[in-house]
Amino acid sequence: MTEGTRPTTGAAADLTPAEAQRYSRHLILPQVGEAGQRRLKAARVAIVGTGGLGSPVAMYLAAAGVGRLGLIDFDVVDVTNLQRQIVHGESTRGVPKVVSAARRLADLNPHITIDTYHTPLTSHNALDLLRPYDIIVDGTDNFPTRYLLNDAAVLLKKPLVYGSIFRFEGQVSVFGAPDGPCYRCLLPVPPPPELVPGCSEAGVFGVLPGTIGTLQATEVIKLILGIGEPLVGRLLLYDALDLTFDTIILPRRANCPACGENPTITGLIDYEEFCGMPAYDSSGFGHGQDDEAAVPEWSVNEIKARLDAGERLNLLDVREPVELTISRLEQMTQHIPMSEMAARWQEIPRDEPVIVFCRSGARSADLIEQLRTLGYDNLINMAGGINAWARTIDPKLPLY
Amino acid sequence: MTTTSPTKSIRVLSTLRSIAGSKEVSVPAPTEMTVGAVLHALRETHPALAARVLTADGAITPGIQCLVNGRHIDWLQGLETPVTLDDDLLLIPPVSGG
Repeated sequence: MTEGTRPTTGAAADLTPAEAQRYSRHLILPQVGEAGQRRLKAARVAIVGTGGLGSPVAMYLAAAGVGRLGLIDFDVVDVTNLQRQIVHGESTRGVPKVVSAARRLADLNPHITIDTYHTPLTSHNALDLLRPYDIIVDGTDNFPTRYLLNDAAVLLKKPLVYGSIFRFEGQVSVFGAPDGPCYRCLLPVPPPPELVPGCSEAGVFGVLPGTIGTLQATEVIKLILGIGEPLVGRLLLYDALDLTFDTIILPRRANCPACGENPTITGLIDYEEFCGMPAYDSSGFGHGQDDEAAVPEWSVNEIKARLDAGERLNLLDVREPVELTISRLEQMTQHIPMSEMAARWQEIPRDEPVIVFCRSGARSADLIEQLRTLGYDNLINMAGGINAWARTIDPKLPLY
Repeated sequence: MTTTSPTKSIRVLSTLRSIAGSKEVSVPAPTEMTVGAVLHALRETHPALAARVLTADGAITPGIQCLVNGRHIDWLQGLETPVTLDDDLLLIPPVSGG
């Protein structure tokens, strides 16, 4: 038993006969039993983000009988989510994710209460939204919200079950436990905005958040029951391709501004400013502020107007071949995938304007920045990429 | 360097794999076997990776975790941490997907 990490939960309510039947496989486990199941029923867990990670977390916690789940997400279900966000489905496309998830969870277990908050988590609402819950689960997809969640969890003295994914790899840990480290002990300083692309730009192995989210749900249930050894002071690293798990030691930093010996963070701050990036998976919404300032760009409206006026413009598509099967710009004059760029960049003309585009404008901005160091001064980024073209110019083009 | 010169391997994860083109890179073992000297050797052999891992003044880029045998160098001797050819040297960039 790990008393030190057990959260404060409400009074353990009795189980109804229907609940006792439903949870019978738990009740006969000595490590859970009736007392443990009642503790699960009394527990209140906030899940921030109802996407790849939040889907399995919510479903397993609901199935396990966690009595109250708070779902926080501002987004709506999109068809591109369904490759991995298994709590949603075809019937809830376009529906707020928290509403979509609540429907599925109510079907999975009608004995629990689900609170839905269709709103972004912000410095203004975080403490009030999270205060009623015993444990917080981080299922977000961006650094500003992760720092916000961490500071809120530390201030509220609640455990934060962290998970994060990239392509085929994932991380899990438990922050904010007594004597344990927090997210700022892992990442004292936010990374430079250009260091990490989000899932929508980098791609993500669909089953990966299932593995990582299920590990997060495991930790939540262990914390509620007070069984086993929680991932406090350790960071679990998972590699789906090699199918390996590594654990690294992650002690609390004595000088941590949030959880250290002399904390200086006594309230929530502006985390977008702190991180220098927006509080959403920014790759889906164009590229970072630094790139915008550094790389010349034209809007899709301006490009369309120039083409309509008869101006000769080269349109270079740098997306991978499979992306052209999803959407294709008929005005494209050249296609060199980023994966072949190292060998083919000299094919790009130097003596006339070249509009470079990708899905959202991030990869093309990176390329322009790199090619400028090789003397190219004729490259212009298509702001927002082909998705902006689809939204603004040609609605027949699919968004992805 | 000759084919018999000792090399020191460095494991990399996530975004650093895309830059390195592999899960592990090797550099000629420096005379002084410290984490800092091994990472600085990347500048010759893997300049693109070095540009992501090290700042212009030779520090580790904020957000990148450097571990020796599963222990963060911040709790060892930082860039002065000694390493052997057999030690597991691992670089973990920050990830935020969800």
